[in-house]
This record gives sequence, structure tokens and C-alpha cells, in this order.
Amino acid sequence: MLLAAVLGLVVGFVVVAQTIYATTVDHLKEFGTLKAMGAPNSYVYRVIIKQAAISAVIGYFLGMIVSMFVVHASQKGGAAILLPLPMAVGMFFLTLVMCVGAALVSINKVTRLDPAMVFRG
Amino acid sequence: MQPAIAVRELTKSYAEGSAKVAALRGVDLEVRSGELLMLVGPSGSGKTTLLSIMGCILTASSGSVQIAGREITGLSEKELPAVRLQNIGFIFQGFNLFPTLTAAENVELMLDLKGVPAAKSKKRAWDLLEQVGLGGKQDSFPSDLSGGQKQRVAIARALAGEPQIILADEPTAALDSQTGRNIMQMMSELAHERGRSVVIVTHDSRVLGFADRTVKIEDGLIAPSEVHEPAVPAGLLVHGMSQPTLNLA
Repeated sequence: MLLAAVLGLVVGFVVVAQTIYATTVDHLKEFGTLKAMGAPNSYVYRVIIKQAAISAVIGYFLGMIVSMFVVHASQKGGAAILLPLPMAVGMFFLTLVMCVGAALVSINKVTRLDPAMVFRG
Repeated sequence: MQPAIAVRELTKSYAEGSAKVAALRGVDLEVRSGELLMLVGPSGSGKTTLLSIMGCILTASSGSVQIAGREITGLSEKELPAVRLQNIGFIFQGFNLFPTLTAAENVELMLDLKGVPAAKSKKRAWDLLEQVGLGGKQDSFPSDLSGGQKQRVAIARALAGEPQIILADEPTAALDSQTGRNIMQMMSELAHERGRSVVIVTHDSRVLGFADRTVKIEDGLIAPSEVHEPAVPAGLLVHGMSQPTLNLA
């Protein structure tokens, strides 16, 4: 069970990292423009981290809605699934840490972004 | 009076594979306050490289660059964004507006970078958009605006930080003739009536008449015989146009 949970976490991390990375690459021109306007790297990092945190919060609540349905349905079956409040809260913070950690890959991409690219049409 | 921009013996080289390409090979140039300078030349001549170095976006390989009297060539990559934010506004060929933000929000972004409080920045953004003739369009998204309107938003955004220097890369390339003239009229007023230093890279021969001075770059050097200073400042030549211009009231 623990192995399945860890695998789930790893897969989730990779999927989130790829999604945020793809979004960042799609918006490189905007990030380049921000840097050309004079935004320090810290400002750009905040944008990416905020994006990751918002995704984490929305994803967590959507996931919890589905989980609550599954937990509720399992009560009628032979093996009830338990989701105690401390676990739910812990999952929230884990989700947040996972998403923000996954955003670090994108931050690296943007840090190395050449702002002169804004002049290339 | 010190020039707004001064470059001395400026060189810039790029590595292309195993070869080294000299984009600039010893450029000396000054841009005065209240001047509209155009950089012209064939593709690959070094115009945009020179503009990028003036704009503290690229660092020079050697030589000196002074912005508002401050030597910037020794500054680190971390220090250059602050110089851009305080002194320079950019206008791009492709407008470079943020598509998910309204016109006002695009302008507010610059004010947010400068730490202006939200309520104040909203009012300033709306006022600036009025000044560039976009009253009533503040809540429009870039996709709802024409090319000329997008460039006006870009001008408002460039002005929001109250920079002394405006650098524009092909600002009329994506615009029709009349719209391009309107935009150039605004640029001329920025220089002549607001005292900004405006440097424009352009291939567009239709707008050369607006320049106080035209400098031709060829093969990384200023062509010695190609510095033109019109007898009459361009601002006077186009005075009295009926098209929307900057409202400086």
C-alpha cells in the first residue's frame, strides 16, 4: 500500500512537472517580455510558483470531491475506505509541496531565458 | 548636458559553432534627451544588437555604455533589470502584449513591477490609455484590438514606468501606412514634447521623415557618410495632423 502511494506521488510529480513545464514553454515570449521590462528573476519565480500553487489547490479540491464520493460509496461495500481529517490536511500540504517542487524545473528554464528573444519577431 | 545614452567603442561578438561573428565592431553613438533617432541598415547589420545593448538586455563584448550618465558595462546580469525598469521603456514589433490581460492590466503590469499600489496603478493605467487615444478600450483584450490599438497599448505600457528612454524595434512593421504614421506621430511627440530620448530601429522608409537624426549601421559599424540630420525637426513637419495623438493636457 505504501509503495502504491509513493508511486502515485512520483507519477503525480512527473505529470505536474511536465504540465507546468509545457505551460511555461508556451508562454516563454511573455516571460521574456517581463524580463525585458525589468522584472527581476524573483518576480518571475513568484509568477510560476503562484501558478503551481493555484493548480495544487484546485487539483486538491477536485481530487478530494472524487475521493469523498469513493469513500462514501465504499462504506456500502465490504472494505470501507477511511479518510481521516488529519490525512486529508496532510494530503493538501503534500500536494502543495509536490506542485511547487515540480515548478522548479520550469523556473530553471525561465532563469536561463535570454530576454533578447523578445526582439526576434 | 549629458546624453541620455552614450556608447563608446562598442563591440559585440557571438559564437556561431566554432566561428566568432562580430555583430558590432566599434560603435560610437550618443542619444540626446528630446531626440528621435532612427537606426537603419540591412538585416544582420547590428541594429537590433545595438538596441539590445542600449536597452541593457545584452551585454557588450567590449566598450562603454552609459545610461543617464551611469556606466552600465560592468554591471552583473542581476543588476541590469533594475536599470531597465528605472530608465527604459520598450516597444516591440509584435507588440508583446499579454493576451490574457486587458489593455489596462497590460499597462498596470509595468506599474506593478515598479511597486505602485494597485488602486493608484489602475487609475494611472486608465489615464495613460486615454492619453494614447484608447479611452473606452481599457477593458478590451488584445485580441479585440486592431494592430494600431495594440501598439498604442504598448506605448502606454512603455510610458507607465516614466522612463527617460524609449527603445522601439520596428514599431510600424506590422501596421498599415496611416496607422504607422499615427504611431510615429506619437513617438515624435514623446521626444519633442515630453523630452524623452526615443531610439527606433526600422526598415520602414515611410517613417524616416519623423527622425531628428538617422544613423545607418552596416556590418556592425556606423556608415560614416550616413548620418542625416533634417534641417527642420520632424515634429514641426508633421505638426497639425488631425489623427489621434498623445493628449498631453
